[in-house]
Amino acid sequence: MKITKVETLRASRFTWVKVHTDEGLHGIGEAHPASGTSGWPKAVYGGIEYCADYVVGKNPLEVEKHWQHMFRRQLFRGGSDIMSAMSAIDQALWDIAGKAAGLSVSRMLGGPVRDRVKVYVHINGETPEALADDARRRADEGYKALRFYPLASLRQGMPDSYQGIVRTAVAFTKAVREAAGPDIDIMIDVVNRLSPPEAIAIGRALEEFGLYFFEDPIEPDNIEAMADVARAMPVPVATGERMYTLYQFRELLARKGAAYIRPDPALAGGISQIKKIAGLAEADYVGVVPHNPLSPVSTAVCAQLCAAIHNVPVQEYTGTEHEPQKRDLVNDVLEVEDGFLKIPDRPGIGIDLNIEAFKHHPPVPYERPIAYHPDGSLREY
Amino acid sequence: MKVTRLEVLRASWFMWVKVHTDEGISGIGDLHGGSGGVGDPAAVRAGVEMCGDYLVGKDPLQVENHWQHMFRMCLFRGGADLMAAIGSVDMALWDIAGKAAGLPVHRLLGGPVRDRVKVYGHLVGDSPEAMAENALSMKEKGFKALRFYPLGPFSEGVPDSYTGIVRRVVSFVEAVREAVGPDLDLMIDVVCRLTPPEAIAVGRAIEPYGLFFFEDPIEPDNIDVMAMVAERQPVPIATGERLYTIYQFRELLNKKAAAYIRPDPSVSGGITNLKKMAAQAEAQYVGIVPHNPCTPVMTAANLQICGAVHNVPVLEYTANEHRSPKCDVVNRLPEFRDGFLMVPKGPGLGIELDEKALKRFPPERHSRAPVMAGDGSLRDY
Repeated sequence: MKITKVETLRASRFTWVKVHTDEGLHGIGEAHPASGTSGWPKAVYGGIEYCADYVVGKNPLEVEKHWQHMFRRQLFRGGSDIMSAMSAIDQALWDIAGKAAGLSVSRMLGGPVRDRVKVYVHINGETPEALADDARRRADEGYKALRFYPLASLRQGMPDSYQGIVRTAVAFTKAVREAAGPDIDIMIDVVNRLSPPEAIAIGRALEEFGLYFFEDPIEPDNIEAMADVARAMPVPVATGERMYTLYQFRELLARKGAAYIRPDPALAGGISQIKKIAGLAEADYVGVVPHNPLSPVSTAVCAQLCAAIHNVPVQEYTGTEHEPQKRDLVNDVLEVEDGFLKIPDRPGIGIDLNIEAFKHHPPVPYERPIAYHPDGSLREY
Repeated sequence: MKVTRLEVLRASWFMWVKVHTDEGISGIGDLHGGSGGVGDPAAVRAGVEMCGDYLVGKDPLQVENHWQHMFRMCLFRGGADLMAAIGSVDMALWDIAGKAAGLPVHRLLGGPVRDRVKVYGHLVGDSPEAMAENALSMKEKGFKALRFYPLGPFSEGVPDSYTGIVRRVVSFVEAVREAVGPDLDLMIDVVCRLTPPEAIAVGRAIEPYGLFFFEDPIEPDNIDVMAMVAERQPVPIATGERLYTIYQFRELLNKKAAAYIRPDPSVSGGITNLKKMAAQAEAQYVGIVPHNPCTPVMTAANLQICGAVHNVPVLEYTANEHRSPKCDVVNRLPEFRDGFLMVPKGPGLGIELDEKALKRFPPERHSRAPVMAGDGSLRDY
């Protein structure tokens, strides 16, 4: 079998690759917007072209070999954009390999270790009351874990004072805990916006609410600082969505910077590399919580990983997959039942794109609000 | 499909596990002697019985799930014996999974990354002259790498003085290097028999001979000291055949105690665990050189790993597989071609036992002479 073409497909705010072969089989994979998470992910499109130059004409089934080639031909390592492109192609190659074997990807990798995985769903609200309402709604739907942004409005930036940040986080967390009751897992994500002192103060103030994890407390680049924060406050740290190499995760784990790591299948090297990252985490008693903010294709890939990997405590789930801008784009979405995502046992990654519907959902750029300090200077956003 | 029975097969000093199913497919794995490296490895066979208590009645295809069960049912972790049993059962389950899919195991795991692997042959000789002569004859057979014990007759212990040990090693290494010329890779293995000062003196003295690695310079239990030896002499260290968990390899790697790690497919928990160890090593730029001292079944399992794992520089090969009893107990030998072993392409591990032939080679105890110091006390052996 030979790869004949790698197609970049776009709809809504998503990007996928479709890898065609000369034997009628094709595979799909999702690309993360990477550096283009604000605006158009142009470098990712370029990355896909670059990787296609290598894979076209090759046997798609030699997945690990192609991973190594795509990674190592970047003499100057390409960063998140190339890794996103590689990840999407890696997913598509595993999809083809699974279809060719008549097996789900998890079965090829020795799974399933589970046929469903607990999810945490995103809840939203710009006031403690609104957030509590959403928490109740999701709890009523059966969800057993809820994640939220505890600093009011993601769009409007941050409270203006150190104490104001802490008070806001406490108010939102308290409201969610009271709405959800004591036995639902709740977790917060501040999307890397805090300074280390702010993150430490919040983590200590929130101890009484029993948070499952505190995600991305500070900027992602300095792993030593992340480890300092993890040591200085009691809430387990989850981080890693902006990391994409085995080497970065190795350092994060060796320095004890995280209790949970969050590799993204569309960014951190696809199924091939996340299996390796999971092996590293297992040796450190660290859970892998795959990052999953994109389309139902990413969810399907995460589900295969969850079925193949022992140390997955919970899976991210946006809770929006039945909305038209997601549901229309695929042939099927995975179902959540009683707070668990059901993992399909179909060949490959178990999902396909519904390209017919793309015309109703033209590509849009990413919009991510900028976070400022009160003096007009920039925070991490 | 269900597992119906686990069987331990024995011939000569070798053992295998055969996993039977209700659908006619069976799988085999080589069984290392574990703690019974000297004497009768009864504890390993008991370990297989315990694994059988768990596994019979289960679906053999859920390999990772069973690995986790067999590991975690040992509340007090079982050590080399239970791990050797788990590893052997794991190999057999991968054999079944491959046969059920009609694919060699390396294809399930995203390979091939290579269709052959360079091997180092075991080179033996009781004097420098005999060793040099044998080296030359192996070079003529195509070997591109050779490994030897550089301290004289294996059963006779080590020289009685510190400088005598160094002189002895230098005389063997010099003879072999001169015989084979500059471009054959040479490695030595002292099977953990030296003290740290002896190992450091030996490593420094043999620097001019450009050894590929120095294996198991000291006892295996203290990883801090292994790291000290690695730091204080110039020859790259290979070690790990007596380690069997990802936690041990994590420590070995984090402490930079090895340039090459040597997990054994049986003792170190099978293909499932070796894939994880390979990932740990890949993140540290460390090569995995699987331990391979048993029968052609283990060689076949190792070749499947070599077909799927990127960071395998070379594989161990006893170079006696064409001799009885090894050649008599299997349906085919992995093919040796010009210094390389070819990765088998048949389903599963790509090898079967000839069970009728086993009867001709009654079980034997493992024999290994203790190594005594000059005063009658014991060295590690």
